[in-house]
Amino acid sequence: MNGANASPILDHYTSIISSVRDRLYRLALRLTGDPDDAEDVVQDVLVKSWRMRDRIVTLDNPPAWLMRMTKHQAIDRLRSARVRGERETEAAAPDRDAQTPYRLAEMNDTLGHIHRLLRRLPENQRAVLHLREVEGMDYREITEATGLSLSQVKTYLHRGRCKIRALLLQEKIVDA
Amino acid sequence: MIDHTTAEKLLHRYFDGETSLAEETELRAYFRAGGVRADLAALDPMFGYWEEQREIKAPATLKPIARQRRPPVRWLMATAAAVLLLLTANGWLQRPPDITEFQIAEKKEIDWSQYEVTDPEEAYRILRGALKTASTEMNRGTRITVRELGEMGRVLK
Repeated sequence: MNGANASPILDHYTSIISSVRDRLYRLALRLTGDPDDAEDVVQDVLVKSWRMRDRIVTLDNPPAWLMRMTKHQAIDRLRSARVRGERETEAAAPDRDAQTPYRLAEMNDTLGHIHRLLRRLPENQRAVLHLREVEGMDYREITEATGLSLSQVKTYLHRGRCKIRALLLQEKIVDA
Repeated sequence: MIDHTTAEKLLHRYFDGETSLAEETELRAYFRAGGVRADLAALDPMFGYWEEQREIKAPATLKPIARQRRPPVRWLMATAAAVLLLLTANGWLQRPPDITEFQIAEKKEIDWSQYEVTDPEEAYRILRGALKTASTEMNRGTRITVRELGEMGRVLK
């Protein structure tokens, strides 16, 4: 790398990371279901991204690329039988960090139902719902971030939303 | 803000996955504002849940760990070359003196003339002393032999 270009690349890389850092963490948290695991996942992604910073700054959509990397990293972690077993066991465990909105959501009856329902969804469906509803990404961005096709994204989104609606209406956890 | 009827229509499209991001923003604003129509209120927690999730922030500890700027390789090489040059120069200045520079005493001719005896009396005295010494030392062997033979004779008797 040319030394004269080092600083602009570093500045560009830093601004990308600053803009996407919270989104990476939220996605990792959505997929792993655990703040510690999410932190580990994002840390790994950030370290890898640093090593590839020269390439990342030249991408058309660096945030989507980082989100995709986070998704893969989180799913790899989830698919580790040991970690998966622990997390499923912990699903009904007492709250460990009641200060985060994520944990507060678990504590709240209605939001807790939604939260637990989302955790039972397949990873891709969960990721698509999260990227659309929380991160406000359009379909093209979601396809880039997940590696799914447009039709898959639309299908997952439709099914996910309908499952939540069914939960809210059929289980009557809210007084209408 | 959209009215209840519009919200209901948008919700149908929303669950079919046909709404745009802008329409979904309008729906969120409708539920956030409160006063939701009773038959739609059951869906309020869903939008509330997404709102809460957007507030989650990453821990401040998360950052690329290799953020420290490393000096360019060419600077490292230049520094290494400068240090090497200094060490070389220092070694050259501090080197032990060449052995060829030691002062060696020059070989000088001995002036034997200063020891030459010119006085005849002194020459005679020196000659007599030398002859006396030679005479004394030459008889020493004979005396030792005579003594040893005498010892042998006494033993043999």
